[in-house]
Amino acid sequence: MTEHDKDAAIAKALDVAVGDRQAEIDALPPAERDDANSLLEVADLLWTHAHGAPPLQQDSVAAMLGLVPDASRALDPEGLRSALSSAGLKVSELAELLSARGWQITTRDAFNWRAGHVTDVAPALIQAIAEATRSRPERLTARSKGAARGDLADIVALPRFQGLAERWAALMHTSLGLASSALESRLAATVYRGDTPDAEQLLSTLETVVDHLEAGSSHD
Amino acid sequence: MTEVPPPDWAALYQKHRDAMYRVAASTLRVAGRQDEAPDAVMAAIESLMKSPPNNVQNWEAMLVHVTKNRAKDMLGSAAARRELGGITYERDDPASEDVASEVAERLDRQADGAKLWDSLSILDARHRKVAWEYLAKGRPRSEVAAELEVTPARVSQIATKCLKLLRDELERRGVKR
Repeated sequence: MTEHDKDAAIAKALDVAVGDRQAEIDALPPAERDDANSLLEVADLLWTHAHGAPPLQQDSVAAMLGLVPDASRALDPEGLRSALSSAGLKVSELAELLSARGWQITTRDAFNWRAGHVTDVAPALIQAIAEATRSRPERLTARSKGAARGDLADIVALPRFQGLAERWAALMHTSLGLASSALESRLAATVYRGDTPDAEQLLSTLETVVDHLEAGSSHD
Repeated sequence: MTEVPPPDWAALYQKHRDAMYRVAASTLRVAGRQDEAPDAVMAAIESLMKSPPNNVQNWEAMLVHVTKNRAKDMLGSAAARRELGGITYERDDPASEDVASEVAERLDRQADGAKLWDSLSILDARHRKVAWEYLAKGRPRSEVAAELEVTPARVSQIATKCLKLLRDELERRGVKR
């Protein structure tokens, strides 16, 4: 077998469905298979690395968990300063408390929040800051006068959405405002994936998620 | 008895979502359903939130393990079994499999993937495009060929050359097979 023949087999293996790939390699002489398989392993590594999480705004799970910052509900630096003072916490101590919960936050991050240099903080992180400072999320949130995201404004205004937001707030132990923000982001992520924003379908999808979590059982 | 507070799911997810998506996509890929990885990841988070496990030593391993199970559940549906000609997929059973070892190996591989990503810089622009668009993202060979204004066969040649160069670079960086 020539090097050209082997390369041709590898090229064919790369182009077929992954489940059929090994058959192409098994057709090679035994002495060539190890080398060919090592190349396919590199191809698999590349493929896997390219299939990580999407950007936060396109990630429905991230949106649902409140990881997508909401410009209409920014962190209020004055509220944070007040909360830190009431709790007797320094910014370094706040950063430590958040890090202990799993957030990757530095003292510099907390300093920037307090100074107002950074206000686009995700709703879930605002919630965590509220818990760490024994404050209420509403006290830490500056609500801007901006409307909900363009094509979702009508859906967000519906009583059904408000009801879902209340249930989500109860499930996540967060404020109604932050819960609304998370669900809005979830809707936006769905729209980003190319689905058309039919109100009934979007709200039903949200309702399924909320129902599921309220039910409270698992197989794992 | 001291009540253990629930995990901060948002913090955990933000930290480990890449690993979750990768294991979901890899598991579903055998059936050509890697685009459904978001569904597996969502199902994993939902199941964990509904019934949080206790005494978790390694959350990354737990999240990856549960996501893989959810992806396998998707493959194990009756419809999927029909599509795959009757092949069935058994869910991981922590009692019968060395789950921690398997997850650790998977996560090590993901670390190798990061080194491989860095290694793309050794390729020229044309080779890098083939490596990323064809091999990594899985775009059709004909599409990539059209963009490069070459034949599909040439794309295959370039891809094979890329893999050899990248394999050598990984060995140089100490990544073992």
